Amino acid sequence: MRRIKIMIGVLCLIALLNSYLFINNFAFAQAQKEVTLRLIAWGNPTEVKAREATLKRFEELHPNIKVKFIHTPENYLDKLQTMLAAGDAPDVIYIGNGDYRWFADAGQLMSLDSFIKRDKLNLSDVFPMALKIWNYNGKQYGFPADFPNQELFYNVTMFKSAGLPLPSSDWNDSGWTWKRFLEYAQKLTKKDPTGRVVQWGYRVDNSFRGWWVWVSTNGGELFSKDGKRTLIAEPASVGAFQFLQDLIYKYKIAPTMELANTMGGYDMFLGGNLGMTTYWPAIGYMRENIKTFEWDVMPHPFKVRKACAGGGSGHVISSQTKHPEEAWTLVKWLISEECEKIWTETMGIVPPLKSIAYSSAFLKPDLPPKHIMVFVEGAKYLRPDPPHPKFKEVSQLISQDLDYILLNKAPAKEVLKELAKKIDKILQ
Amino acid sequence: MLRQKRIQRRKILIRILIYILLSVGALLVSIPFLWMISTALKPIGEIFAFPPRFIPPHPLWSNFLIALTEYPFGLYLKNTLIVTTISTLGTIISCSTVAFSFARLRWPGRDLLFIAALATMMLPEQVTMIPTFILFRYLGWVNTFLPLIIPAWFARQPFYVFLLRQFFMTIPVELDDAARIDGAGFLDIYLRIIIPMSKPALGIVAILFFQFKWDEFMAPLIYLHDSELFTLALGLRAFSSEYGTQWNLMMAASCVFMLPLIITYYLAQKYYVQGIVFTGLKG
Amino acid sequence: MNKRKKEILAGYLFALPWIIGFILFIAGPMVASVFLSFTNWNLLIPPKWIGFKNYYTLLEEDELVPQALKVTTYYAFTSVPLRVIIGLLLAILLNQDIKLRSFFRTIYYLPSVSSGVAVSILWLWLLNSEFGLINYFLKLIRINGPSWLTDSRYVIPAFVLMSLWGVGGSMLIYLAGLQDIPTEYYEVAEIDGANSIQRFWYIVLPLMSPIIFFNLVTGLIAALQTFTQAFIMTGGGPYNSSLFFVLYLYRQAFTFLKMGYASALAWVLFIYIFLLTLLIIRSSTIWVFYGRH
Repeated sequence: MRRIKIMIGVLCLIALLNSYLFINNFAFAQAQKEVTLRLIAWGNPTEVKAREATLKRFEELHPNIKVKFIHTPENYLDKLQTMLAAGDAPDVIYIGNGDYRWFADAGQLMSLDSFIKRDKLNLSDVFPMALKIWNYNGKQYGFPADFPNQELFYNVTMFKSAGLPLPSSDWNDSGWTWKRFLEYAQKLTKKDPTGRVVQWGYRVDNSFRGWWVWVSTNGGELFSKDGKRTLIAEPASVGAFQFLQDLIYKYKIAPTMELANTMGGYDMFLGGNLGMTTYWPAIGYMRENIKTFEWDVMPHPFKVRKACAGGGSGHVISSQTKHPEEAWTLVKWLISEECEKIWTETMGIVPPLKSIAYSSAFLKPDLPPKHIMVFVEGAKYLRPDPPHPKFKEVSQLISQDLDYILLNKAPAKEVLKELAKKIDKILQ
Repeated sequence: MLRQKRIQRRKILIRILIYILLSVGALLVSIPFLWMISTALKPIGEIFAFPPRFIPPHPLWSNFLIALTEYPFGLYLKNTLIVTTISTLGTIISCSTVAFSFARLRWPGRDLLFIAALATMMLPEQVTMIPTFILFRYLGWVNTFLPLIIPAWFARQPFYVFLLRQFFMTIPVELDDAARIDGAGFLDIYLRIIIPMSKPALGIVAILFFQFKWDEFMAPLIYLHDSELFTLALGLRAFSSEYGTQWNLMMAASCVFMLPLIITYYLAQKYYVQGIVFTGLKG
Repeated sequence: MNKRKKEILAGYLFALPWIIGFILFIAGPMVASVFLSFTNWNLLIPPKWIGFKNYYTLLEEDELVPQALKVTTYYAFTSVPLRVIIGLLLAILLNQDIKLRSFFRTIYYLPSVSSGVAVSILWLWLLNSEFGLINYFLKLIRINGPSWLTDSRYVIPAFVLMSLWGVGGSMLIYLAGLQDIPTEYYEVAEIDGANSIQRFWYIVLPLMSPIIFFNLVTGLIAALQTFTQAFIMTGGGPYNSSLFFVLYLYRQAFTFLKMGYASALAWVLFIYIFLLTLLIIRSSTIWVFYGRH
């Protein structure tokens, strides 16, 4: 009798477990009557706020579509790829302008042309260059979410107390060279009595655009014109990387990567410990968090030619989506004026729509940075992520070997020579 | 007489030495924990203070609250509990039945399969990881808890089978025989003799597996995509991103994360030493 | 059905969960993994058969493979023996008849209970070269602590140090083994005039050798598969000096989606572990002591 009781108990347990799993699946299926889209994106807290605001408004306008935001602040590409490889692709994907082509080639993206034609979508307000960035092999794969470029943010208060005249924020000015920049950085770096640095001149960023701007302003390139080999080991590029290594180890005006990572890239500037830094226009975030000093932007220092990195990110639709129509509705809305207004108001970032870029929604004359036009005028000098189909792979390779340079293991020339060999192999 | 005294004195000296060694060691070992709690109680500004202070002047107990509410920790906790308890149950049931078969029943191929099971302990998880990923993809189980739970119901970890088998083999066969005379079948023997007598061993298995699963990182990393499904191990990393790390909140969350592990150890202390002694890892 | 047949049937039935699991989750994937390793599949576009190319790349061209093996071996062969020695010594100390014994045991055991993600994060903070506690203490005794996780000479020692912190787990196992040694052995030896060192060498060590062997083997297998700490703390850096093999494998699989290549790497790891384990098992016949006399 007891044995039977035990057996019944075990069977009940198994039944319970099964029914739990079943109910889970069932409930999920039920929820499918209204369509739920998944959108994957990264984002700092301000971006998350902007994202949620825009999605909330979208859901108001389209009550039968719910959008689940998969916030991924770290290892973004890894996570995205895992999801795609697992057949668990999100419907709408936020992605950098250099990375999407690889996914397009892998058949993971849906082209938007037929939708654009069918809905006769008017895209005349979008900056033509911004739109072009998302066009690959003749197909429009996505719409830009923004059209920023990375410029130099600087701590005005710190400059003034160091007795440094403020550099011009005019793109036509030719005084802001690498040499001048270095002088300034050295004057801004301060130590305490024990010899520890408490104020840094600049922070070296190891992301792609963080070094791409230096290579570009030195006249360097990543790919040859025919895209068959890399030019990363050419003197122009080597000079740029070596300069970055020197900023940390020779001139000592930039913190080591470890220190920068511990304290947090943004936090150093926000905390008033950093004189200058290259950032994408996270203006909303800065406005919210900087209350104790005056700050502004200026063009990036140049050596051979004026340039800035950027190009922004955009939204694409996964080819695995089960709701292409709803995904299109979302993507269409994300490029609409109303959405971009909300986005720009919160984020302070350069919108891809001309009307908004020149409006007070973006320019906000009463709020810092005073020279916000630097971003709009910088579009002329923008060098976006190289539109090479293998860009994503190549940039992943580079970021792995960047350690050797930025941790001072070897001079830039050696490291880049080896790296170029590896990259060339992929490009074959 | 004198020799006795000398030996006595030596014994005391050695004892004192041992005390000193152990105390110093214990201090060293517990410092990381204390530091973790100390950091958890600091406001952000104080974390980077130099020289570092052990006892924050104004302990921010609220950090614990913030850490638990700023990110959906309750949700992560629920998820982790679901995954851990259901798979622990699965492990206990499946590993004990399999161990029973290896220990008590004779059938062709038994010893060969047992060695195969042991051999798989040597197999790195990574060899099977990718095809298993593809399998779950095919089944559509990605982004659910299933890949984390189901394998446990099939005795995926042979270590526990081994542990239990060794233990079962120490239970006298005479008990089985006596029961069989009373007309008991194999299921009876399993349920009414082996299981009740194996409480310490089963307890150990449950606790070891629970701790292993609570802490599991790679599988949730690969299979759980929507943040609503995240387990604590994944959620813990939410405090650091390219924008910097909130060390104090992260330490606070880590404390909470470790708590169940420490509690289960405490509850299980007597099982632990007892259990391991009996299982005779000498074979 | 006769009794014999009944037993055989029951045998298979009770072992069924494992048998199914073995086919579905172990044997099946193993076979699939072999096939995978001969392709260049990235799960997004249809796979292509490329024969031994993955293995060729792995053995001849990829310099990160020997690097990963070197790093992993260095770590395993430093951490595991140290853990065995310290664990055993600790267990002996804690086996003595002293007050507060169970208090000490708990303290030493706690770190190993809380392993994995939280510990990695904690030690990431402890090892920080500017703000970490370890360098602070070193400074107190006038030593300038290195940048543990960004200096290629110190990164593996940092991981070893971290692993030693959690030695309490195996200590407990040794303790159980020690308690199994009948006290008569010690008494007899003492009567025969053996001092404590001789008692250790001739009684404790031989009787503990099976447990030591077990811990050595399992410890080695686990150490060679280190992943979580490296993933969270260094990501393989600085410049690949903490590129643990499994981390490299994960990267090939999920960062580059080279599933075929990753499968080939997995097999290399397996063969490596297998050979090392075989070596230790072979050597065990010399020094491991079974039986009671």
